[in-house]
Amino acid sequence: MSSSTQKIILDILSYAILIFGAITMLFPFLWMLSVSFRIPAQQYSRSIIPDPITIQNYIDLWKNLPDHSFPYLVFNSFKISTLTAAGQLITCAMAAFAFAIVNFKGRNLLFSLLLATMMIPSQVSLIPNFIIFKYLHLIGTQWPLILPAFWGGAFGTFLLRQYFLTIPRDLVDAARIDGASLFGIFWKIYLPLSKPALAALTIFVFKDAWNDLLHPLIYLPTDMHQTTLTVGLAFFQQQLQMGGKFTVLMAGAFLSILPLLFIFFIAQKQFIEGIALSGVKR
Amino acid sequence: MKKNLFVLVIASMLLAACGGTKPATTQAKSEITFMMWGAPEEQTVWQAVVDDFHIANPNITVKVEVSDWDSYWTKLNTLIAGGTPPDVFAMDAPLYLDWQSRGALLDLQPYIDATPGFLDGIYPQTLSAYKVGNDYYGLPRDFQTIVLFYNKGMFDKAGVAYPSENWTYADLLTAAKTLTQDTNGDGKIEQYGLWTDTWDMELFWSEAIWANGGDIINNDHTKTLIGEGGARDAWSYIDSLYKEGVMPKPSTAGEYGGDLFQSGNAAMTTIGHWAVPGYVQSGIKFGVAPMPTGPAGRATSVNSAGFVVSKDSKNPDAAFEFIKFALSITGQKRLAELGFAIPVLKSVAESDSYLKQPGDLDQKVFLDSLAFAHMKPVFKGYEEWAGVVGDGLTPIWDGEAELNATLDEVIASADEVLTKNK
Repeated sequence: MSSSTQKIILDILSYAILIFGAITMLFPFLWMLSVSFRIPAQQYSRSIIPDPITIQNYIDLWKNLPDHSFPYLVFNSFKISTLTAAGQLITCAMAAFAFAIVNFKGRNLLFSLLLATMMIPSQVSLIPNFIIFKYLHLIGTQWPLILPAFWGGAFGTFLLRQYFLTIPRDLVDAARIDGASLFGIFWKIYLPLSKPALAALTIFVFKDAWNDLLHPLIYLPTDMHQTTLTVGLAFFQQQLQMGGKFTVLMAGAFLSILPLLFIFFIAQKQFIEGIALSGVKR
Repeated sequence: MKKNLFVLVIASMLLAACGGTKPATTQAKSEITFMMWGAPEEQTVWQAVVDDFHIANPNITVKVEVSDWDSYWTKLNTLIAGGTPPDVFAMDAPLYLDWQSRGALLDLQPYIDATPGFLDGIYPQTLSAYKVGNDYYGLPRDFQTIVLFYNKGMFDKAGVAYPSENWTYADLLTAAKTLTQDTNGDGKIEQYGLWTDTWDMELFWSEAIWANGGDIINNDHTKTLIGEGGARDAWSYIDSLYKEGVMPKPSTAGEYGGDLFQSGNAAMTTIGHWAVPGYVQSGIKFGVAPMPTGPAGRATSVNSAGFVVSKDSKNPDAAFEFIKFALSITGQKRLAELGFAIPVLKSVAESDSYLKQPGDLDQKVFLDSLAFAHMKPVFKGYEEWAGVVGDGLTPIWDGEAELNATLDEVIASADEVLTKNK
């Protein structure tokens, strides 16, 4: 057997495995999409192509949520997720830069302390946080969901610091010789070169904030004009347990992942560009 | 679930830490929060109840907060642990004692004493679950009895007579055998004779045990009785339902994505009134009959949802006013119109508001079942106990474990839970 036929067989094999994996991962989404276009009588049907195809579920979703609140829910989720992502990007990038580049006393100790906070499950700090926000009189507003993002985060700082460390130190020295300030180095060299890591962090943070059910549930009133999409859909799910329509819930679930897909595609472009532009030989 | 448990532990620790209550009564304008679980339709109805209440009590403003079941308990635990409990909140009877014993609930007895005749019109069977010693720390708002639902179309097609009041558990099995069909001849069953849940006791197994002369738990909640006397007969009956294939195994039932009766894959089910709106919506033609009789007579289960007031409520007077209103004829009528549950106020349940709901369903069956209903047991540690029993027995129904030996093991672990919660 020649090496080129060997390569073809290997390619076919790896593609087969990848395609199988892709189908397995995509099937639940495909099923969700399919159910959202079915008539309720066929919600349990096993065929993937709906017959007849209906958009009634999307109309029902609009009508059944109290006060036509779907746009409010989407807006609130979008607002909170965007601000959270922005807050994390700013504070984590600055902290990561300090930990990676700047030499100061106690740096390693501080960094270990920061990492140690990752060991604490968020449920432990849930109630203390709640009590803090109670004393700040912010319960019932969206601030408890947004503000913590501006206080940095261990995961984002760690991720970006590791990435910053891979950027050659020579660039810092060169910039120093050219008279760049520390902030200039951060802003003009490190941030542009770290687009892939920043894009990855954006996806992580936005996704987490978008999917978060616990915190909006606890801090926001269950009023459908003030809460987020996750809380709204969970509430809607109760209707299902009481014998509501699965098809409508799937319509809601499908609409709720659209913004995530959108963010992912934008960030993915940056991701590739970032790699192409960095142009540093290792 | 783990997460919930954790919050619960924290909540109870904090509850224990902050003991005393501040008595605060105001005649001026007061605002209270009412939190409950439910579907969007229920929110609409409760908002209507609250609007009526505002007209009758212009000095009190009630804020309604409705969440789905899981979110409700998470939120409630955090609010209480954080020291900002809702004034009035909904309570499920089986969980009531856990909450009461942690000292989270206000003793309503002084208020009840000050309102002579308040409880007179309420079904006593529904009240008993909320009585601790001589006091009520909560009151029921609606109740559920379990009855037998049947799909009329499937019975007609198979030429089987509809279930009657004279049905025995043996009749149920015979009919279920005829109704279990492979309708399109592909070797797989499309239509099961019966589908019900055998994880929790409420829908089927407690009824079967009582009808066979057995019981669930002893009076002082120290011993699990599900392996004694007639109870074993009930279990072997349930085992035969699975073995004969007239009821899908729990693992098979999952493939249908939930309620097989609603999806048109089962000819009968046993469930409460809460399922009615959904069944009507999915367009199946169905009827209801009382649960079948067993060797020890007929039995069903009754369970209720209720109201409690937080011990730390700043406006306990206003909170009680609201409960009083919700249990009045006006409030209970609204509840009846909602169609999910049965009002606890006798005069409303026996009036047209409940009995003459749209559709031709015999609503009286649910009411009449009270006559032979047993209270779904309420005891400390209920949730853990139910988990041990439900999870422990499932392998039997899936055909992976032998009935009697497994049952003995499960009972031993269930008794350990009881000892722990003494």
